[in-house]
Amino acid sequence: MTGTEKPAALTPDRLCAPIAASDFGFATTAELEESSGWLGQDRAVDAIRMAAEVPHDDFNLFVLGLPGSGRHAVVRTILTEAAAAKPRPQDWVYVNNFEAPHKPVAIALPPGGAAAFRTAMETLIDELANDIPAMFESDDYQSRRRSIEEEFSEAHETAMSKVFEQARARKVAILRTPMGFTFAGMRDGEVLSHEKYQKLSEAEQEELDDAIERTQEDLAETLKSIRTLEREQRRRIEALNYELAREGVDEAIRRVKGSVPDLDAVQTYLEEVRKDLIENAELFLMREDGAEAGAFPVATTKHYAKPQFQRYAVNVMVTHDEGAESGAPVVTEDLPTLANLIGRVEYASQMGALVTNFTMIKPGALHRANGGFLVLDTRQVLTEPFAWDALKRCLRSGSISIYSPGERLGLMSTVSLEPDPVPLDLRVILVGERLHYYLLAALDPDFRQLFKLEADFNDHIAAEGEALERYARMVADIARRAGTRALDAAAVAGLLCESSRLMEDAERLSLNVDDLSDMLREADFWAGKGGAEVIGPDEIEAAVEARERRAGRLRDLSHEAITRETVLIDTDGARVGQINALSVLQIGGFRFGRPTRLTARTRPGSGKFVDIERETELGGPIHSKGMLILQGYLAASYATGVPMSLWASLVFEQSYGGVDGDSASAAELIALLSSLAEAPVSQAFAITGSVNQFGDIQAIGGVNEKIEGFFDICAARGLTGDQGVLIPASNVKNLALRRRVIEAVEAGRFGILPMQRIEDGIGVLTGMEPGARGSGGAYPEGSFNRRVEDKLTAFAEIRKTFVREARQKGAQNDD
Amino acid sequence: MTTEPTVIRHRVILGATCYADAEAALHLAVELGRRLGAEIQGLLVSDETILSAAGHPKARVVSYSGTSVSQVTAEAMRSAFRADARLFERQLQRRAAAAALGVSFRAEPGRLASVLAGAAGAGDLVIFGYRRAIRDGDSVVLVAGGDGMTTDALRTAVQLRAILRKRLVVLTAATRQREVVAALADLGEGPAELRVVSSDADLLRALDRMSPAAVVMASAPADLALVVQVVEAARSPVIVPFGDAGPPPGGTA
Repeated sequence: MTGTEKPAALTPDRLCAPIAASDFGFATTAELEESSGWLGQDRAVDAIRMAAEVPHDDFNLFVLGLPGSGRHAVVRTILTEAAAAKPRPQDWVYVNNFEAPHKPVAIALPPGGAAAFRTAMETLIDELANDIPAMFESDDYQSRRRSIEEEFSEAHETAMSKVFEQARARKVAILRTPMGFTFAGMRDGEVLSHEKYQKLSEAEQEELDDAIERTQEDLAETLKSIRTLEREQRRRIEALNYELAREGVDEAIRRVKGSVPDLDAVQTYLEEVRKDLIENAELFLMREDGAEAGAFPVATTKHYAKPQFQRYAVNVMVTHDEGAESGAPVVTEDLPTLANLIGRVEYASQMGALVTNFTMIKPGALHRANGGFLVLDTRQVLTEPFAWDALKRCLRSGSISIYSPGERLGLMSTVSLEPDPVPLDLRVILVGERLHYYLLAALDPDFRQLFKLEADFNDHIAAEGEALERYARMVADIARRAGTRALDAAAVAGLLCESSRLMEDAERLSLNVDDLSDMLREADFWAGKGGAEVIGPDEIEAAVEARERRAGRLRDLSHEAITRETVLIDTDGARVGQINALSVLQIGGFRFGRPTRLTARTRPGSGKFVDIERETELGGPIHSKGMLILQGYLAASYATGVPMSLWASLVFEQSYGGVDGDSASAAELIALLSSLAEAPVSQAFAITGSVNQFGDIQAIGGVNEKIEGFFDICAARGLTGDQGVLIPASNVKNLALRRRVIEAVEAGRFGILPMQRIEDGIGVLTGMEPGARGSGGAYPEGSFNRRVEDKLTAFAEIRKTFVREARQKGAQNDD
Repeated sequence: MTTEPTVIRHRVILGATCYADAEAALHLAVELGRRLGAEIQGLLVSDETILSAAGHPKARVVSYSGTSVSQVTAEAMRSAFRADARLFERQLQRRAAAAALGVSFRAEPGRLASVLAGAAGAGDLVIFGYRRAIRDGDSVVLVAGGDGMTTDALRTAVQLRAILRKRLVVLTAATRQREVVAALADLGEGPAELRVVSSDADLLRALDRMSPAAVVMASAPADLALVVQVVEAARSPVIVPFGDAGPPPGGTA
């Protein structure tokens, strides 16, 4: 711990990325050829390629990275290339299950075969709708049917005639009554009344009763036999109809079989269709009269579209025609709802009830992507109810089962379908952010099983060597894709500096393509306004300024509050226990720095530190941690031979919001030491940096915004040349300051000083020698540290005296 | 030759002794009433011979399907007549209203033939209802055996053939065949199936062997007993026109 040398102010060349137009060998980006590959994304690209080519199951891919890093474009390009080399997948159709209509049958067909199959079935129905009525209206059929009916009719009439003849012969009348047939004797052509019956002899009565009973039995028997005869007649007519329909259907089905692929599933289905057509030939005999007959002649009517023939339709779920793009499909589903993923069963309202059938099954993205690739946005999948669960279920089972949330929750009270699951063979690519990946990996046990590959997109590349040239080519590509003017070399340099600022690192360049593209388009706008043919550095600068101006209302208000002295910040003079700390505020996508007055007060006590931010619950945990570290430094660095007898309070003045982070811990320590040493701190400086228990200064974030925040206040009040900012030396590489700051430094009107240790800050801010312990273990007389130690020792003495006197008083009182 | 070109029918009278028989001819009655613009009148006759037979201690009824045989009393039969009358009236009114036809109904005691003869006047068309044991007959039979065949009766037969979509069979005397063919040709009707019957007995025998959907008598016979025999032989509804009515009330011929 020497602390004898004050840090030197940074030279202007260290205040931003050292990139200049001369680093590039081109005049404008128009000269640059399109780059191949993706800059800095080799690791992610290899992972995507592997996912596209590995044949094994479950090697689905999660693409993680920041939004704007080009994840979607890279994925789309690689998958499109890979898909082109893969064969076209099968077509899938749903057809009716004639035995169990609620379980439609899925049939796979060769690529492009689905449409042909559908057309063949439509043609079949149209042909039969013309042929079958003609067959049933033919003279041949009518003659054969009449023959059967007459045969039956004759048998019936003969039987009935016999009964009535016998009744007449037995002198029995058959009477038709509301309750059926009743019987009475007849004499002389008249029905025998009851009185006349009573007048008959007993033998005659007995004979008549017997005749009536036999007639009664004969009639009952004959009437019963009619039902049997009717059944037989019906059976023979049905057999005739079946035979006729079979002839027509067989011929038509034979033609269809010749025009569709010779697959077992298709042939089995056609056999089912054949049986059903024959059994339901009357469907083709339904006549439509009047307005329902339609405007077209029967021969040109689309019979297959009629409701009664819907059962023979082919519902094409997915088809891959030859005319379409060759290879496997690459499907991106932007709205991955459950229905859009796995498909859905639609319903129609009929007579107030919801009805459905296999023609109302609609495909989902999984159907369309089957055999290829499906690209989904993780956030969308996770936020759509049941979508993530459905996706995992399909991947796990290797098939697509269609169901609705209503069914799962038992809310459906209408007839639904259970379509055959469709075998699933595809690669799913989830595009998301890192947080999604880590949360899924931690919380969903299925995730790592189903998504074995990850493609982690880099956020930046090192700004060194060939990278600058390659980055320039990437910029040229972005400009071409965005349709902007070309950039000259100086503009590229300016853009790269901005890129490094995005990364908060002069040695790194951002790979956020979206940000760069936005910047280019804005610069192009300004170039257009200025009538420039190419985008130059001024346009880049204008775009940056315009962007900051648009977002800078709150920043301006904050600075205005300081310059109008509503918020008290000194930028000159010196004061004991008071220091300018720096903080960063982020609102939306914009952040800015501002100085904050930090003060410390001390007095003798029992070692208590009052962090007012923490006491008022305005300080976050990192802030509290920084406070405890500086206490550790203080306790171990000064007056270690006596008890810590200090009471101290620290506060961010006029801070009414929350404070977190430890970037002000160096400022807090110096303010505290200033109070103890009673050494005034220069208010021309602001300081940022965290300190550890040994007094080393550590890196912090937002260094550029913090510097610029203090600079702008000083500039508003007039730069004196004495002003500056103390930053951690380890943050020098992060400097990517705006031109206005660099120009002030170049002019010697502002300084940026790196600190390695807390003593560096003490020396600059107090103008005193911090002092290091000598061989005797004491700090040099008159040094800053000596004054601190003496004050702490004095506090301890005061405390000791106070305690002794208190005890003596206590003893006297006891006496 | 026919005796007159056109007869205006005032009423179509549908009579039966039970609702089953009436219902079997209800469609015919409404269709004919609609084509003729005539009022429909229903007549349910509580036939006294039926009530007398039902009063027999050993009286039985066989259901129309033949599946049950049960004992019956005169009182039960009267009750059944009342129930059938209500049903007949209700259905008649419903069907007539649907066809926008005037309608009336009566339930009367007596013998079916005589009640119908008493109710019918000149210009009325009388239908004897009859429920066939088998559902459908194969033809419409025109009985043109006696004198006085009218073009109107022929037209009625032709209309019925169209309504029922059946073939037309004409039972006629040999001497009248040419006349019938000419009359059919005048109506634009194609050649019908002609069968020669030489007597009433011959007619009844022929009908007994046939399976007609309906029988049209060319004219009302002087003796209605023949109509009753025709009904029993044909076992189907029988339509009988009752002469010239002249112009309908309030209209012109």
